Amino acid sequence: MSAPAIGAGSGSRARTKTYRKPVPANWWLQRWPYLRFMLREATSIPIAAFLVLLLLQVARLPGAGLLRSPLGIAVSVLALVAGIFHSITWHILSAQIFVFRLSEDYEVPRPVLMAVNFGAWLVVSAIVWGLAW
Amino acid sequence: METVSFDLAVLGGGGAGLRAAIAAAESANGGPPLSIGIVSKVYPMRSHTVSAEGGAAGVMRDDDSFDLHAYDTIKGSDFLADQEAVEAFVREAPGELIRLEHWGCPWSREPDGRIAVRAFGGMSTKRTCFAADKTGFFMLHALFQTSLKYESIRRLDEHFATALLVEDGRCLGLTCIDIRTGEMKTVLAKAVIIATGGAGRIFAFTTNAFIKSGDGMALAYRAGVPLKDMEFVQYHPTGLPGTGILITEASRGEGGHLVNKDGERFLKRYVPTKMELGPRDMLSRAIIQEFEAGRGFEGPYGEYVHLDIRHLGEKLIDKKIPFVRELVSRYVGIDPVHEPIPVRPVVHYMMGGVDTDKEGATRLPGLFAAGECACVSMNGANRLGSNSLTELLVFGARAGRSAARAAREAKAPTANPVAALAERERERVERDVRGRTGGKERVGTLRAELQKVMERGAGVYRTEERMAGCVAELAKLKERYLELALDDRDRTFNTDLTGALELGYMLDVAEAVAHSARARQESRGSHTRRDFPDRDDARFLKHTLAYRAADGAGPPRLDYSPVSITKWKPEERKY
Amino acid sequence: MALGGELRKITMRVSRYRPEREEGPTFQEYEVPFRDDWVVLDGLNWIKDNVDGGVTFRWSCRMGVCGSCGMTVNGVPRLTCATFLRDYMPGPVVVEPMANFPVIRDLVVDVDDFMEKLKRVQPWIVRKEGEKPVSEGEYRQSPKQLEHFKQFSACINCLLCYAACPVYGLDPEFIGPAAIALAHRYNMDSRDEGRAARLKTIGSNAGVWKCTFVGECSEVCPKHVDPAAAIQRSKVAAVNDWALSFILPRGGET
Repeated sequence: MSAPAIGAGSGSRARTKTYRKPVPANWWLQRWPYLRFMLREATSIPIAAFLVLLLLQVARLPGAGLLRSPLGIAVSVLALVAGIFHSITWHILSAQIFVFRLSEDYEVPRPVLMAVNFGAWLVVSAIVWGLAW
Repeated sequence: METVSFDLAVLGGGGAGLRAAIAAAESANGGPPLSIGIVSKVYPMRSHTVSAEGGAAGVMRDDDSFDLHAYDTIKGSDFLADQEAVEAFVREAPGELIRLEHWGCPWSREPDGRIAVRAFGGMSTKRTCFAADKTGFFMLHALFQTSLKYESIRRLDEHFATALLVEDGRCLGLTCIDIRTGEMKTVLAKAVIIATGGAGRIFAFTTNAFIKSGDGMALAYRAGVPLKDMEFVQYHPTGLPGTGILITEASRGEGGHLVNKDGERFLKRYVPTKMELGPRDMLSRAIIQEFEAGRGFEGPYGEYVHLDIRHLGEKLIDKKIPFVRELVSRYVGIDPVHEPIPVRPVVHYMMGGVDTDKEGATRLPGLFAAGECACVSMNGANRLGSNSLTELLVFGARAGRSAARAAREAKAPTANPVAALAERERERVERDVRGRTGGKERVGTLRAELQKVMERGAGVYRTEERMAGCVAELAKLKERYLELALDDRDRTFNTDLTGALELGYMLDVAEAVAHSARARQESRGSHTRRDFPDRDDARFLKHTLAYRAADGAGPPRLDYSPVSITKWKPEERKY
Repeated sequence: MALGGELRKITMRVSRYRPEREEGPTFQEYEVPFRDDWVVLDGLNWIKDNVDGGVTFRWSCRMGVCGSCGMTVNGVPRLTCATFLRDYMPGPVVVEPMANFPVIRDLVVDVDDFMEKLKRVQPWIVRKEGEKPVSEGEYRQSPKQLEHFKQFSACINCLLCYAACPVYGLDPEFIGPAAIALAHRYNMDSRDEGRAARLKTIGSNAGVWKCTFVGECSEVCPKHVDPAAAIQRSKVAAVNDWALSFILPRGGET
């Protein structure tokens, strides 16, 4: 005979064999609202490309000017710091959302995903830096 | 078999059950807490309380009085209600409604911030509190979410009760199936409260949810407790044809009209003073009489009349009765702002139930009951709309408190006699229900036949011939039930099995209804007979008690008990 | 009027799963007769009553208020009591259990995770000094104050929002739309004083910050609760409280 401890709150549930349908890696292609969400998030790519273009253009501008003034430098440094912060949080979050299932049993672990994200970010940054230089 | 012990077990997680559990939890008052278990075959927020729409009545205004609310209720009950119980009810009603407000219930408000009240059928003044037109939903969720606060309340969700355990003339608990695993468990308790609701599903056309199969009523009945006043089945005047979905009385409370084929507000010939706010039994009879006079509309699901709310205007409808608009649009495909709603009388509520006193106690020590499954009697032969939701709170709390007291005073049950009882019950279910092979009857078929039989034999208008036929058909159905075989043999979440057990309960409850109805040779409240069209106080101002025959073989034994009359002498009931 | 109508036929492909005998779900097809006013639930009940009593699903009120009958219909989370078969002609209608939950049997899923999360957000009125006596009457609340939280209190706990949320599907730690919406409902109730504790729970890592505002929860909600809005607003509230906690010494409660 078992007496339940007071404080159990809701009832205890006996387990039966349940089935968990795996979420496929292409879950976002299954329904239009999900694809639309991913496209919305992906808009950051063309915007980033434009920004790179803009950076490259600006780098070719002759002479001093607003960008090289103390104000300009201050604002640029602030924007850089903000951009880095945003990128870091983005890479962490996206590793929580995206699932890469390489096979039935293997799902890329979050730390690995994050490492890949950051790695890719550093590589792309290096390329842009090189182009601008 | 797994055994779980509580000080107090509540069977049913709807309004009454949750209120009872909370009342029991609060009865500790700083002292040692009771362990409380809520056993429910569904998660509590699925309980049928959730579908109630109109409101909950109580004396909330200075221009109202306890005596007036009591008189309205007693007159509404066609003088069969126990006046002592009604007087206690009306006195506790306002406090319960305010207490629920403290617990978060989003009552609709007056501009000055007080709880608003509206007019309702049979009520002399505006006293029905409401939360838009989903009062039951908001009340249930407020109660359920509040119940989560109490560490002493534990729940066994989706556990289906199969029998009460009675030993030495005391109720010691119950056996139930964990629906998920299919395994039976013993729940031991020093007091048990049944709060399982009514049994509208014994009829084909009903507002009730699928789960309203009268489980608790049948369990008490089988344990030797009489079912009281079962013949009184309330037909709500305005249900949608086909589905039976309820169109709340609030639509009439806000000013809606009932209109026949000739465009006439026909109620002026039946309840000229109250019109659409007359009591439900009179309105349902009026509508049937209009059908019989050929003044109803013809439809694929039978005749109907119109409920016209167009003149209320879109703004009021969307503010006060938006759910009505939603339901009608979805299930009938019309917009009630522009077109009248087709409605017909539909089985809605059982005034009768497990016989209790006004503390919620049954004759079986250790067993209590509250809510629609109980019969105190507060509603007598006909219930006024918006009294039931308040009844859940008042009598749920009363049963909770008195059961808590009983649990504190009782000594703990010993395991041995109960273990044997429980094991026999487990074998019964295995052998007689789950394990039966070679049977030729199916749950779905028998259930549909039962519902048809009750529709014919226990309708708004009853005759000796029809009721005799009903009684005979039910006896045959009970025999055919023994030939039942299940399609589903699995253990995990077997709803064929629970359906079969529910069908057994429904047959027991139907038997009590049919026999009680046939024996009452008068017309009172919602029990109307063509062969005895008048009320007969000399012979029948009393409650019917139906006792199950031993082992269910044969008709129930009927007895009668007196009505408590305090202040109001029975008079002619006119509106 | 949409009552009755002629009798037609439609194919229903129903997901079956019997854990005692099978490793995973399979589909079974049924030819179901129906009328214009039949919903998917009517079809399932017809199958159960006439063909196979073993088809297993939850249902109760059949009018869209109890929240029992949520399932996936042709890939979309829906209340089967409010989904009409006529809208799927010529068919087939594919009925599966709600996504993102473990399947117990056929169309029945395990919802205990939600029940635990619901309790975690403390969905009840909290009063610092305790509840006032009934004799003092009701807490006054104007109709406008009621409007602030009314929408979010309409949740029937049907869990379609969890079935629609890709975050919950990929990360079951997420407290989820309905639970957060209910937390928000109480936070916005003028009678409540438990905001700080609730914001701590839903402002935690498992709470609002897992939401990326896909927005499907609000799309599928049959009661127009708009949990997505509740979550985003809770994000703002959580940040405000966090910021204020630096300015005001005692936790930034307002």
